[in-house]
Amino acid sequence: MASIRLSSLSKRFGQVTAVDRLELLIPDKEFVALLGPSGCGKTTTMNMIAGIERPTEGRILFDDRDIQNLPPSRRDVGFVFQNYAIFTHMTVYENLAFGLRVRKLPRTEIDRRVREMASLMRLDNRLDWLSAKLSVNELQKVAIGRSAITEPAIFLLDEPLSNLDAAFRAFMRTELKHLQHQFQQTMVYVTHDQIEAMSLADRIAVMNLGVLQQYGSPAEVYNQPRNTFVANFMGSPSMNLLPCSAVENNGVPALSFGEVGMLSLAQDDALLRRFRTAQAPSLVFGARPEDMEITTSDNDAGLAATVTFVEPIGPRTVVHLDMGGKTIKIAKEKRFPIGIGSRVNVVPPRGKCHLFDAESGAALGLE
Amino acid sequence: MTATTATEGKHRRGKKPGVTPLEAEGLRLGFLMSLPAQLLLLFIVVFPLLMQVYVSLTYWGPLDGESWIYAYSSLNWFDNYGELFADGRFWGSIGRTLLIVVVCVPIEFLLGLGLATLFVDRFPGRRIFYSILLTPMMIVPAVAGYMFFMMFQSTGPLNDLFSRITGLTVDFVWLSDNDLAIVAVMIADIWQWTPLMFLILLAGMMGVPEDQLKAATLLGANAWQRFWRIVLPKMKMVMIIALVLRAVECFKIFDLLFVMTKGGPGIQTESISLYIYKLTFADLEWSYVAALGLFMLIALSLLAWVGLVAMQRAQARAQAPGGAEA
Amino acid sequence: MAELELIGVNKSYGRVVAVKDINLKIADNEFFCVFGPPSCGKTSILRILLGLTQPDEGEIRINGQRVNEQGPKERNLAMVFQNLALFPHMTAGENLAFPLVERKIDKTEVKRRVQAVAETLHITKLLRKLPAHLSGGERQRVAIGRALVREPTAFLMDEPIAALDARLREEMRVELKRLQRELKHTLVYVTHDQEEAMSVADRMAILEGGMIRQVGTPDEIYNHPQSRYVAELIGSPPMNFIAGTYQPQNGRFVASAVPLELDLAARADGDPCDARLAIRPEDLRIHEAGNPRAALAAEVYEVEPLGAFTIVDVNIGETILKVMEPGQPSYRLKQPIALGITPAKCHVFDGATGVLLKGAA
Repeated sequence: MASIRLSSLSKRFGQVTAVDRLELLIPDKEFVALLGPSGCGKTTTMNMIAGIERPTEGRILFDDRDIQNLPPSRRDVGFVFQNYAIFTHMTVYENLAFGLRVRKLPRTEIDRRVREMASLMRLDNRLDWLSAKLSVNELQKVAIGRSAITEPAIFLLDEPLSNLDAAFRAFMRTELKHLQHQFQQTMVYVTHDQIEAMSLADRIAVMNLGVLQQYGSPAEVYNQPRNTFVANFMGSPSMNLLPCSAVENNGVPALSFGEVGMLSLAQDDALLRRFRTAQAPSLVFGARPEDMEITTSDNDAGLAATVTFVEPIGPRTVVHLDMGGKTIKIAKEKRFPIGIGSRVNVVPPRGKCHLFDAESGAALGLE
Repeated sequence: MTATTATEGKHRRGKKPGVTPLEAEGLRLGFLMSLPAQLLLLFIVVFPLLMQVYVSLTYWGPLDGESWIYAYSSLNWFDNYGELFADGRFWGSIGRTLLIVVVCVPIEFLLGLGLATLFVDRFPGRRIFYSILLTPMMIVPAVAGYMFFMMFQSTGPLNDLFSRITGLTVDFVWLSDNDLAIVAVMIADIWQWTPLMFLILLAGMMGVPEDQLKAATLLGANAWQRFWRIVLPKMKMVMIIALVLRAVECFKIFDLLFVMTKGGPGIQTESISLYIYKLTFADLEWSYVAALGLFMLIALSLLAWVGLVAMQRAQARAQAPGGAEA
Repeated sequence: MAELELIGVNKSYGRVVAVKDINLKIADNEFFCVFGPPSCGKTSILRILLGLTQPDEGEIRINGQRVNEQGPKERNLAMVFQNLALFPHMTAGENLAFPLVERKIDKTEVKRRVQAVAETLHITKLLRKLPAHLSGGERQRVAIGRALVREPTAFLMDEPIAALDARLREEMRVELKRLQRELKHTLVYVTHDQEEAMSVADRMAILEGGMIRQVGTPDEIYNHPQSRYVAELIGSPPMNFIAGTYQPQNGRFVASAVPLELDLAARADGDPCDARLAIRPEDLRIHEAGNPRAALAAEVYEVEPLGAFTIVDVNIGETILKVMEPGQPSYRLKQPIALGITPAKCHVFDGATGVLLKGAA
């Protein structure tokens, strides 16, 4: 059990800055996801925590203890590799036993713990198998079991679900979360899949180009994105972001979307408050696809759009609309009745709209 | 679900045995294209071999003044082979050669393995050291032999060095001493062929997946445990290849010896190759040499076969189906 | 421009069955998806249509004409491969012109056709670039363009966007659908991504072990699966299954591992049998514990908030069911809840054969 503190941690490879002055506190027993697109520095950060990579600057502390000079083999971290790195010349049993054997535990104790772990991971009848014969799903279980068996204080997982098929991935997501609740370990999880991060983590650290964009609970990151990057990265389909400008319409502050229409802010206090903090007139308006409404009546205050495509994706219908040359998506329930080519009004959700500065991309009026 | 897996299993199994028409066409074409080469090979390998078998059953020699084709006039069946088994000098040379193999190959192997372990990690100057290490292998064996011939002279640099270190007058007559001569030859062989071992073992070591080594480290294994539990088992195949290759090569040792000692003093360092050379060019016992050569061919083939079987066993274990063994 | 038809097609390699009893009619101007897990015969169907593989039995028809005896060139179907297979040393324009130059078509004609195709695909500005300098989506369009210049009868695509990352895939599939609408070509599209198939397909075929399990619109496939296999394969999060016994005569389902009895308001002949009750995660409702309208008492096992909706895993003893709720409701772990099941939304499949016994309304 340990907390992890990253203090102005940087890593440069020659001219390239992979991680830039990262500040992060991962509390004991929490499940934290490092989330971002490829090349955002999430794996480098994880490798530095494990000791595979040496930081260029900054410090890593486990429970306030600087571990800079502690070799990886003595950091007491469990690491699950993306490709699992199963020892191919060993059986499942030998793989599971490895961490205990190198610690020179008594043979009977090793045997007992290996069998316990095997039954927990449902690998009982695979113990004698070599890895070449295992399915990807089983390899993944061996990889997790092999690390978990040494009961490390910190568990690091590098995209462990990315090679699995969709059904097993959904199953493993639940299982992994349940395992973490059972083991009560600090877990750091690297992923590029926002759904995985949302569903598993207690907190999410969103990274881009080596810089931490936002760190908070899944709900915070989803509902109060700090900038357009986070807003766009979280959610599927992602948040609709529309450039607009601040204007006054008959003395009432409003957002102008050019030919598409005007959005009066008189009705929406939350949006108005955000609007008042704007420094420049050029803004980006944001609203989640599932929050937006579609109406066909003309007198509604809304933005004009044309339906270009309707995707029925199982439980939901995603409606694609053309709004002045920009595509927006609105998620509705199953079998939502609408035809391609319909001209409609899009009504943004009151109290659930976001506003960003067009230049910096920073969210406005976020406390 | 069971139905799915069953059909998938069938698919996988189905791919191996059946030869598609396209593949069959490829095979036919391959056979035709390689036919000239196969005929050539037949001429190069099979013909001399048959000739050798034939000559080995006679007393034919170059002084007979007849072409080898008429060697049947002195047909003696297996006399040459009988003689071979009673030939003390022959068995002595075999024993000596084996001694060199048994001493040199393991030492070369261990040195090579040690060096490979050093070189698998990056360190400053690695490339330069690497090139220097490989030079002995590039030197023509005869030249290497000459270098050691000079070095082991009783007034040579080696004795000089020892004298300076110990402060005594060291004047070993290395190459003329009954016991020291073979040691000198072994040192030369080790010097020249450790680099090859090193090269092969380094290649094998580089092939050990890095992520598995990282995983082992993070599971708490120290350097020694990583080497013992991950690197060694994964290099088994490469090690067998390296050992067999060097053993067979070392068994044929000739040029180093020829330049350094010519088998002397007396026949104290005479290897089997050197003995055969002397029989051929000094004694002109060609039919006896033919018998001896055949005998050696069979012996070496057996040696290689043993190595191959060991290799196949290792391979079979690596690919054993799940559950087949504990 | 083309109606494709497979009638009683069989193909095996030795003892291995690639496809079996395939009867498929793909209408003109249809976006038709062939969906299934790896090695279920998807690609074999494409190869048979293309003329790369001869079926052991059965007939292939294009526009009602038997084409079994025709080679790939005569059938003139265009194939876009998974890896796109653009020539890296040629510019986009040269790639587009390649099939025409191969056929020794007049230079001015080549130029005209390349230009026309480039305009349709909005890639006129990219013609001078090498594939290495194009984005994934642009490469995709060039690959389609190269197939299009030949003026093929229909398009066949084998997982053309499987290698792209998730975001780009979402964009590309919409783009593909738009293109297909505009070009008015028949398109047969192979994929193993169920969301992709549902998103773009006018109709789709679900395959298992070389056989067609169901053909229908995405709506039919999703809401009216005809077998447990199809029900399991389609939908994310996957459908929930509860084991039990079904009595067709009075339409009752009695669960074996959980205390659940449902009247499914259906009457049919037949003996009671081992069965699986199936219901989609979004059709289950979570009520407060003790709610009299609810069917089942359960506990919260895990909560997966996904922003737009939340997946709540609930357990009744050892049985775990996934419930999909809109928005971001909050639950405690192990919180007792009650589960509402609407009988009309339940499917019942035979426990042994997986055949549909009673469909949802």
